[in-house]
Amino acid sequence: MSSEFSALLILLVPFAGAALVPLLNLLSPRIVPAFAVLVGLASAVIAFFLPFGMKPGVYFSYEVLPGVFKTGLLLDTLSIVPALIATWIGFLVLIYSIGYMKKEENLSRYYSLVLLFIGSMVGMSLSDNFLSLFFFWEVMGVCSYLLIGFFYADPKAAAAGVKAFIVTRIGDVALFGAILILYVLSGSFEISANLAYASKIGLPLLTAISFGFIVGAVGKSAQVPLHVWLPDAMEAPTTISALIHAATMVNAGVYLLARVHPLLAQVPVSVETLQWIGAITALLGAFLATFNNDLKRILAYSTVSQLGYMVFAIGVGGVFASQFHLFSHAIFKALLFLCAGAVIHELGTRDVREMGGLNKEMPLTGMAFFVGALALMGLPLFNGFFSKDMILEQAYEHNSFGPLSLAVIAAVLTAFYSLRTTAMVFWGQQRNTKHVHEAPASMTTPLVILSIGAVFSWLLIGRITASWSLSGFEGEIIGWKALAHETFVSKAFMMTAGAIIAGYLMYMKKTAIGNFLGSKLPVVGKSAGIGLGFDAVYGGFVAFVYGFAGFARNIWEEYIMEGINKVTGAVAVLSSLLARKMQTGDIHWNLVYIVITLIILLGMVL
Amino acid sequence: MSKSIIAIQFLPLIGALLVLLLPRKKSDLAAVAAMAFALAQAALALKYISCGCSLTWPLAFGVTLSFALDKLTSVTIAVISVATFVASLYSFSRKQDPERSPSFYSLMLLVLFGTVGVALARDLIQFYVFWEAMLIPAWVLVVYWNEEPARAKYTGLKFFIITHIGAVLMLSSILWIYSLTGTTNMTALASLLPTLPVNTVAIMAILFLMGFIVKLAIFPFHTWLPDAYTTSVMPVTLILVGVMTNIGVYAMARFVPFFPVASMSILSKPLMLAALVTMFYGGFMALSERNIKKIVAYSSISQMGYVLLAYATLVPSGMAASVFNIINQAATKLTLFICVGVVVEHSSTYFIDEMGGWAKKLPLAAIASVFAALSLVGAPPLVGFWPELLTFSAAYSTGSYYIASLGLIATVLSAAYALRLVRKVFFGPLSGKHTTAIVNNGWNSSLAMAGGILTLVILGVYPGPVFGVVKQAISSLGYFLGGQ
Repeated sequence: MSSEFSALLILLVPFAGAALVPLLNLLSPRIVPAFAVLVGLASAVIAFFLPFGMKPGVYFSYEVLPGVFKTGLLLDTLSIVPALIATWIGFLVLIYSIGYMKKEENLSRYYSLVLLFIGSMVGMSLSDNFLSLFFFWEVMGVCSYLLIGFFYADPKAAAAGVKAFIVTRIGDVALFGAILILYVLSGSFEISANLAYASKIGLPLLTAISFGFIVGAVGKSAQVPLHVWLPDAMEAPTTISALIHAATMVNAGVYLLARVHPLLAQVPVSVETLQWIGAITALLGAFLATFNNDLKRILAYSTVSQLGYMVFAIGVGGVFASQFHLFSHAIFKALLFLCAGAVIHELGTRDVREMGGLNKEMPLTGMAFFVGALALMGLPLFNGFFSKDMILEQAYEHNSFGPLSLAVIAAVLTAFYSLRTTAMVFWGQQRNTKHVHEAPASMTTPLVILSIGAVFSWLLIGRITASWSLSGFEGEIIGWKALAHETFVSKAFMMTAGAIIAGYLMYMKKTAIGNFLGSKLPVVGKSAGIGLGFDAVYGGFVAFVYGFAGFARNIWEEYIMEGINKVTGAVAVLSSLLARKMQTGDIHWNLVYIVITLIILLGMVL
Repeated sequence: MSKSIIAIQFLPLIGALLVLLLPRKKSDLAAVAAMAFALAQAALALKYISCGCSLTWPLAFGVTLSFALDKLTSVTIAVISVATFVASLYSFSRKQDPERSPSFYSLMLLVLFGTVGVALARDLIQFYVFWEAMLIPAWVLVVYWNEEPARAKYTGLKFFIITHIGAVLMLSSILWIYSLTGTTNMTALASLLPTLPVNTVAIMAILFLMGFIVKLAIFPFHTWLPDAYTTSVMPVTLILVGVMTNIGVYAMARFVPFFPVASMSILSKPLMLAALVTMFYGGFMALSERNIKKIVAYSSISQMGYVLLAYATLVPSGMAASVFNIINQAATKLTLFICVGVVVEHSSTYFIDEMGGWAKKLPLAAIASVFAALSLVGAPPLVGFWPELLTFSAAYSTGSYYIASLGLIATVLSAAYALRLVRKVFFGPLSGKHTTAIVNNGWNSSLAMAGGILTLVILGVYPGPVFGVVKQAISSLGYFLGGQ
């Protein structure tokens, strides 16, 4: 298959699928899930063949607005990797959904939106211009709003959907502004043209533009301080959480930063900001994951934390490292979420304190979750180990020791909460009386595939780096043997290994630490319990906006504006009352008026 | 050729007279007749979209009427005719409006007649006469088909007086122009106005545009709108939304480029600021309001801020946004208002706090509201994205980065109130406060909502053809585009 043809198909197939699902639903609702899985498979297969024989470049050209805006498909390694992740993880999520969503209603809405979501992520990453990138970026926002609020009858889900849309919209607006300013200056939406043009822009304006991109990515990729929507988004069906965290949505921000890195690199303050945002987010996410007892929220905060590493990587110039970690993270995070989904499906609760000992009844899920957790904490030979190590190594070479130390502390906490969560859910004694079963095959098959991926995906490094340098990015081609060698002798290895050991020791002493924090420093647990107060601050702001709007309405609309209306009305009535006095009906007065008028007229003429 | 113009101008008047002849009880027949006339009008306008016809008609006393049908006019007439169609479709067999009689539909067609005259006019006096002519039947509709009879007179008076003040300012500008140039013909004025002093023309322009600014309900001339929208019965509100407001959008597109750009550029910044204030003001009001009809009314005010911002940029893409806006505003807001109408029909309350969970009972209305709300916000793949794109790229291209950025921030406010509305009404558990009585057989509103959804999506995904027409439409305005 020529890459040109498959490139067009990979965009069309999911969208056509999304449009056909509601129609098929009219014929027979039962075939909808199978159809959606087929569409997912088709997209994944097409995406798989995309890199073969691909010459990096722009394919197709289509005029959306004649004379103003045309769009094309940009194929290079940077753009294909997110598309591959979106389609493959999306495909596995679709298979998993057959079992997971079986008993729910409105499945045509669900499957149609999932396909639209996957298609938009593909469209976003393959866009050769900022406008269609933004278009699909926004469609993803719409999909996330509708899918997070899928269980709309639940007020929490409905509110979480709105929150996700509004919070990410803040970032979107900044991104839109940056894109439009670039467009106005360069006269083009094309990404490559704009990146080339950036050097002609004065530093103050370029700084503003680069911060537009950063704020956009901070919103979409749930970085501090706009991370608050992601934990709440856990009200979505768990399959959707897996999709948002691994395949679509949050990857978009990291991809965008990688894509515009040449522009960001020209503004020293912006890359420095990225380092700190990333490192702080990594630490804060890990900290909040450590103190949480909701299984899905733990995973959500761990995503926040891992995305922080990727943003941090871009900040220190490790664009490849960020994308490599994106790739690893997509696999192990999808795995973790789908395992969590199987557990929640069986137990009906998300509280890890009510779980435990599930390894007995759900050995496959337990094993898979453990593999995912090991990859998350970055145990050597798992995929997360290599990519995280690469990030830390980059930071070390870049001499960014301040943010780096935060990232290493975050790694310690990551190791700790990964072990803690696995233990709370699968090990030890069962803490509830529910009778649980292993999930059906449609749900366990994706777990097995993803587990294999979490162990072996880093072996693809040779292919990826080869294609990376072919796409014209900086970086040398390294095979998996070289990667393994380099990783184990790298300076960062000491940090990675040290973090895991420290995390393990913390885990062994967890009762003592817990007692200490509980008795001596209860403030730590309390502040973590309220998410460090971000929501409270924003809630206060929203309340202020409401209050202000209500106040403005009362004062301005009811008193001043209505007052002006009343006063003008009163003046009119008053003057008419005065004028009426002149209408006496008395012929003498009328004669007087006539004479006065005549005198005035004569005076004007003379 | 000129026959087509006469047909387009007088078809609604003929329709209004014929409908009036129907027996008093035959209100549904009158609705069907009104729909037929409105559709025929839309078809006629689109049929002659490329004819470039014009017509001059000497009247007595040296007054010459001047009509022209260009792309902008055609599109506008088509859109307002479809809006009239939707309003009569929605009102078909509605039991809540017991006084619905043929005269109701006759008045709707009379409003259409006036607006068509406004769209076709190429002479300022003629323009003014039609502008006032459409106001009278609209005022009758607002006063006599009102859900709150106690407030009807006050609402109607406020509506009439405030819009009338705008119209009088417009008239004073026309007379001033006439006194200096000796003509009111727009073609002649296009070459005469630039010869006048720049500042004088700027004052003339702002006096003239006041008529439209009031019609669009730009802050602080907005107070008539929430009352008129809220207390009128829903079909009348649809007429106000789809026809009256849209003709204001059209008139701005016609007359902002009519005045020389040297004069207009004096007004550009103040107008942009007024637009910005309107966006935020309408947004804040919509956010804090609890009455569902008032929320959409304030959202309309806020949206008109975006419309005005596009004009105030004085650049071609801003004008393109405005023409796109005529279509977008009609599609988005009519869909939203019909959803609100359907909800209100089934509800015993106007207050969104007392609603909830309606998505279960009214799935189509829920879907249509989600689509309309997202289009209002400017989210792709819905039609609202494109005018927003054109508006803000125009705003940035004028170099007013701060104003443009603040305008973008206002879209977050739009998202907040629009999604709040959808969430409160349709999501969450089903609330107890609703009536089960079927007050409308529903097929007509369902048809309107389905049509709305399709329009929003198709134009959002495939904006190319509309944009092609838009570009030709603004090139036919032509007064300052060449000099830009």
